[in-house]
Order: sequence, then structure tokens, then C-alpha cells
Amino acid sequence: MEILPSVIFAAIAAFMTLRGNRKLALTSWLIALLCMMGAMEFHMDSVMKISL
Amino acid sequence: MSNGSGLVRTNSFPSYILNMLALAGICVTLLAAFFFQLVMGEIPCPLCMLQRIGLILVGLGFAMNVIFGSSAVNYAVVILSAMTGAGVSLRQVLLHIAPGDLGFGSMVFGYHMYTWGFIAFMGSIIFSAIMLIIDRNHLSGSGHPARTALGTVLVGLLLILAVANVASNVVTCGFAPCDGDPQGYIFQR
Repeated sequence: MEILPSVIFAAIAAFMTLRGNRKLALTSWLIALLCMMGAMEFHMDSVMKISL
Repeated sequence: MSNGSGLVRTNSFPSYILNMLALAGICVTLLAAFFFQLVMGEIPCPLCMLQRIGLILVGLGFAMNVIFGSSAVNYAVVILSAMTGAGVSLRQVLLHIAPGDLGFGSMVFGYHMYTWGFIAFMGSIIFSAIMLIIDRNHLSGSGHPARTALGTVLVGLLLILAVANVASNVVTCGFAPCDGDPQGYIFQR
């Protein structure tokens, strides 16, 4: 669920690139990147077995 | 450089070809991921899905260079996406770096796929740095590059792979939080 928005906006960005709308492609890419960072925050919070 | 139709082509020839090759490389990597998922039966974990999204976002930067012409903004798209994706790959490498840990998923040419993912993201950053040097006189992004059929096909393939990843995400996680160690698709549970 938390990963879905980023991949949807990535697909929209690819569609906008194919259609030739650069502004919407860049906007969709930015939203996808931010959603991806949100999903990373959700999925990358477990403690690792190594000491950094 | 005029392309004969009155439009000004801002892409230098090697830049256009190299960006198409990079985009083709991203598409092949995503197709390989689907091969392991659909043929080998390896269901992607959340970190694997995030790395796939990182690859799609990297591919978008190359796609924009192919469709709209070379631009520093497009290379920034590649670099920022690759840095984000590399963060996920590195996290997964560190999760399995302890002695005795067999890692997650099968190996390809001696490395796990998340290790190859990290190499691909780092390669994209290095490629972009080199392309920024090659394209230094063609980075306005204000012209209209000649659009080739092959370039359009590659961007179309990236779109199809992005949509396929939407479907893969839905059948793997449904509309609930993704399981850290997926045991099957939602219709198998």
C-alpha cells in the first residue's frame, strides 16, 4: 500500500514523457520520488545485525 | 544542428545514442527482475520493489533526454533517483552482510540482485557525470530533438514496465502494508 503511490506516479511520469509533456513528467517524477522516500521511511526502520 | 524539418536538434549524436543505450539497459534490468519473479517464482520483497521504482525513476531521466533533448535537469533526475535507489540497495546489502547470512533471493553471476542494483545505481551516477561533460555544450533543453521510432519504443517499454510494476505491487501486497518477507501473492493466501 505504502509503495503503490510511488510506482503509480512513476508510471504517470513515463506516460507524460511519452506524450511529450515535460512539465507534468517532471512533476510526477518529483511526487514519485517523495512517495518513494516515504515508503523507505516505513520499510527501513528495523535494527540491523551490524554496528555502524 | 538542423534535422531537415525546421526543428533545431540540441542532442549531440553520441549523447542521443548513449542515452538510448542507458534506457535500454534499465529496461533489460527491469525485464530480468520480472523474469525472476514470473519464471523463477521469486516474489519481490518491499526493498526489491523500491529498487525497481528507483530504476524506473532513473530510466525516466534517460527517457526525458531521449524525448526532450539533453538537459542538466534530466541528468539531475537520474542522479537524484540513483542516489535514492542506491540507499535502498545498500540497506539490503547491509541487512545480509553478517557472516553466515545466505542473503535474499537467487544470485546472478555471483552477486545477489540487490548488489547488482547498487552497482547499477552507482553506474548511472557515473554515466551521468560523464554525459554532463560530453553534453556540456548541448544542455539547454530548449530545442526539439529529432524523435526516432526506436527512442519512442524504448520509452513505451519503460511505461509498460512501470504499469506492470503497479500490477505486481497490487497482487503482492494488495492494499495493505507489504510483508517484509512475502510468502505469496494475495490470491494464494
